[in-house]
Amino acid sequence: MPSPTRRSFMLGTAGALAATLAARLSERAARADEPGARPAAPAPAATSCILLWLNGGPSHIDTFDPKPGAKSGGPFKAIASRATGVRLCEHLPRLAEQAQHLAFVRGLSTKEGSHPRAQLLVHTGHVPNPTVVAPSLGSWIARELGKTDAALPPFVSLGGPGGGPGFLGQSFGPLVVQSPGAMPQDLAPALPIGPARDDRRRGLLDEMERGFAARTGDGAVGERRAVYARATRLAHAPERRVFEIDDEPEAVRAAYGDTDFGRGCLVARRLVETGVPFVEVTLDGWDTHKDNFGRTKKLMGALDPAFATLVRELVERDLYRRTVVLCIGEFGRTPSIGGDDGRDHHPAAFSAVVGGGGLRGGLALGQTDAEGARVVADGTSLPDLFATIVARLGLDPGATRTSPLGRPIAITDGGTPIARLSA
Amino acid sequence: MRSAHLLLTLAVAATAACASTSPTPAPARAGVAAAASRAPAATLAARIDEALAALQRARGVQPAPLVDDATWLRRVTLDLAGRIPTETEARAFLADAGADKRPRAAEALLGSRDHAAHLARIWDDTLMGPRVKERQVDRAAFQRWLEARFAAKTPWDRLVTEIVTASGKNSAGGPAGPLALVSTGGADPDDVNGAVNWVVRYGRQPADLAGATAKGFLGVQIQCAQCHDHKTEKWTQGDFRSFAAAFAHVRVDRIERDKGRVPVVSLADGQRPMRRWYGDPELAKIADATPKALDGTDLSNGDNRRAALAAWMTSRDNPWFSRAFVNRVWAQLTGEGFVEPIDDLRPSNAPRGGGVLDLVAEAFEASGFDVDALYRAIVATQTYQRAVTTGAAGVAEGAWSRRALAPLSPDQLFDSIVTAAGLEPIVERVAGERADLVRARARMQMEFVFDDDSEANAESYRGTVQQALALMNGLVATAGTTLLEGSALDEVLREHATTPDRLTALFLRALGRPPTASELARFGAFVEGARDDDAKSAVTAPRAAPSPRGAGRRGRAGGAVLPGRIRSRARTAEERAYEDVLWTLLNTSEFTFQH
Repeated sequence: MPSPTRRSFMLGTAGALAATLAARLSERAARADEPGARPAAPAPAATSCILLWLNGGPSHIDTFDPKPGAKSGGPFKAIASRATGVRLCEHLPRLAEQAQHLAFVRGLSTKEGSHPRAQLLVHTGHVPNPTVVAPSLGSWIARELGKTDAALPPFVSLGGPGGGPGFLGQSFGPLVVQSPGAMPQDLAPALPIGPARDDRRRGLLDEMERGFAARTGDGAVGERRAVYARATRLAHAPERRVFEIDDEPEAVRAAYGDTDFGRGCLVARRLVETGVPFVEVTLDGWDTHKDNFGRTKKLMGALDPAFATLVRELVERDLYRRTVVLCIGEFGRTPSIGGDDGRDHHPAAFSAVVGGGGLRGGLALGQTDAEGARVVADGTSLPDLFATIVARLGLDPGATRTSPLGRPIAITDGGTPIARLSA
Repeated sequence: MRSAHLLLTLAVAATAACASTSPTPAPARAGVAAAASRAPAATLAARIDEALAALQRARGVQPAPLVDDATWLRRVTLDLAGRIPTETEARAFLADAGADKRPRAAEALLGSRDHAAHLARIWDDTLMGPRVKERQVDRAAFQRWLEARFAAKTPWDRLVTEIVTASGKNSAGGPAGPLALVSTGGADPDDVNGAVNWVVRYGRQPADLAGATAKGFLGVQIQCAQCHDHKTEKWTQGDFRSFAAAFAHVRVDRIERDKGRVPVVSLADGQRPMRRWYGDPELAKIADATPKALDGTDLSNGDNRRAALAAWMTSRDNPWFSRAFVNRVWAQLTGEGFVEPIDDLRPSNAPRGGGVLDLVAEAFEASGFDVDALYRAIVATQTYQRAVTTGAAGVAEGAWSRRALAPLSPDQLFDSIVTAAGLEPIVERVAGERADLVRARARMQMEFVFDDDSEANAESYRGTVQQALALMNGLVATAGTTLLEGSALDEVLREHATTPDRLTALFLRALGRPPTASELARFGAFVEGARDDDAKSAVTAPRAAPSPRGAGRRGRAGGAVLPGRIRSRARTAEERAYEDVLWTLLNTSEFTFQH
């Protein structure tokens, strides 16, 4: 268990000198972002992104942006973390231990307070528009970084439907795994048949397909056969074992936590290890109009070990530089507490956590007021957050594709990478 | 328009909703009256063909030949009834020697309940959008209402007027979840007006209501003008607000809200906008705007703006109403609209097809917006009957010289698997009183996997790995191809004794045609090879297939495991070979495409 007093102990002794030195170094690092400073050598691009999707709109005040003294700050205390000056809710102790690897973005603000619209906005980075459905970040990345010869799909969603492909088309939507830790649906036959039967009937199918393709002369048959072949390949690929966690040591599985979300995070680590470009893991239940504190505490009980262990393992396995991690929900929750002991939707100010991929960690970016109601300093726009992430993946935030109605849509809605997060 | 995947929370109801007595069937048509009603269809069909033939000649495009009977029956049954033909229907049609068998078969389909249900699903899809759990909407009631109207042959202008001006109670307050999202038949009590659910769906955002009205019924994409003056067309933000103002007096009042049940609300028009509108700057602007139609016609009409709107929409002077509907139906039946995208009828997007759209739209108006007459006429054309083969000249857009392959919709796929595999009696038997819920959930699951983004470029096949896996290994497809008591496979093996007869029956059931000689030989060898293997190995195969739980370690929701009561009755390798035959047929592109 982390001991926040260790740092104060350090500061009180010879560590004081070290601390001053550290402060000077980080000052200099901050200045390096200013124009005219000597530019750092470009880091190699990240190759994967993990999105931890907190569905329902997590209360920022009760998680990443605590306001313990405030009138409506709630019963939870704030604890120090390994990020200097950054305090987190007391129910995220393990995450606090990993905070030096993470940036706590506290100045997010949107105008979308309805779940469907906000979910779409935060998944795609574009304000929902009836004429064009922008692809989710996952689908963009699947399109740009996915390899056609890979056995595993480029976009996997665990525990939830995940972001959709929009106008990029269904083939860039996620492979959805409803029960993380187990094989995805339909990867194995509902009634098992032996390999001999499997081979024989596929041979028969192949002949029928060739005949039909020849008779119709329509390219769609060939395209379907290609997709079907990918599905067959996935169903037989040894790589599909990545979805099952039985071979992980008990200690590892315990560290992530015995929850679907915990298992999902473990599978996400395994997937990026094999090179899958985008993985989304969903933790649902944050829409706490009732019993906000009880339910949010319980959710943090699942979030804390899973998120912290994921970061720790990525760091330990030397995967963190090539994996961007984003933890976010569709909005925050109101400072004011309603009759059912709940907090309601609050898009005007909310938080996200981002790290990895060579991004700077150990800091908070942006500030809300004393209640947590408004962003008062260093606000972050969603497009800029997306641009920061995609730039780390070696993609151009302004690159566009054309929608069916002829509109060019960019990966980010006019975003530019945030200098203070880019190392 | 589909949006990205949004979370579906499926609340599982404890019991299925009871289906009450089925509504009155469509009026039957006597032979002479039928022949008489076909005459104008034939005339219009001939004019359509003439115009398109001229177009093809001018472009030097050679049209594909007409399809054979088996292909025709499958195509038209999918297009009109949303499923493949049954074995009985296929055999009867192929044996029919009458000269007018195609028009007669089309007529029978038009009069069927399946046709009404199919149109209801299409229009529910179009008007309601993605199957997201909208809190106050009873989507199943909306489908039932649509089905009843289509079955009663309500003219299209009447039907749209009823939707746009709908008032009253939205729902009987049944269980929330799949049964509120998917209709499994039956009827609602008389005091429920299912049509109300469409206005309720969009009612919180009148801007969305305006956009949906224009797009769904008029083929006009006015919603761009919601946020800025339309970039390419002449709509301004002011125009948009005036149009949205037609819905400004709608009030939705809650009647009941019980946990786990669909909220019951009442929809009516008030004298003025609801007070909360004035708290929102955008809504306030709409509230203050004078209601005007897209061409500036004033819709103030005292108390009833929506009635004025409906009258304007359905009037013969309205340039969009009939053309939008005709364009959709034409695109549905031929694979290609005169205007593409099919709901984007703007001046700068001129229709192709040499005036045929106007010709058919005028006929549609003249018929009194008779939906049957429109379908009848298009189905009667030679254009409709063109084969998929590319022929000598290759593919040409906007020439309708051939039918393009198109994936079956999720509903068509679901209903076709159920038909081919004879799953209905099995669902009844296994699920008992939860049969409706099982049907609704299975249909939704199929839709979830097979739903294609309508925004995606329709020119190329965009299937997914998950779709392929669902047919390869999924629950519905596996249940359909397993030898279960009372299944299609079971019937075929009982009724026929020889390999060729059994194979012919399976081909007719799955593909609507008999096997070719070489297919008979190949499949015969497949089956008989298995029988020989069986005879050679002295070991008797186990009586039933291994436990269904062997499919995966976690056999709960998410794993594709058959419910324990479903076990294969295949006892021999030969019987298992027949399971493989049916599996093969259902996994072919020939099965999963409309052609």
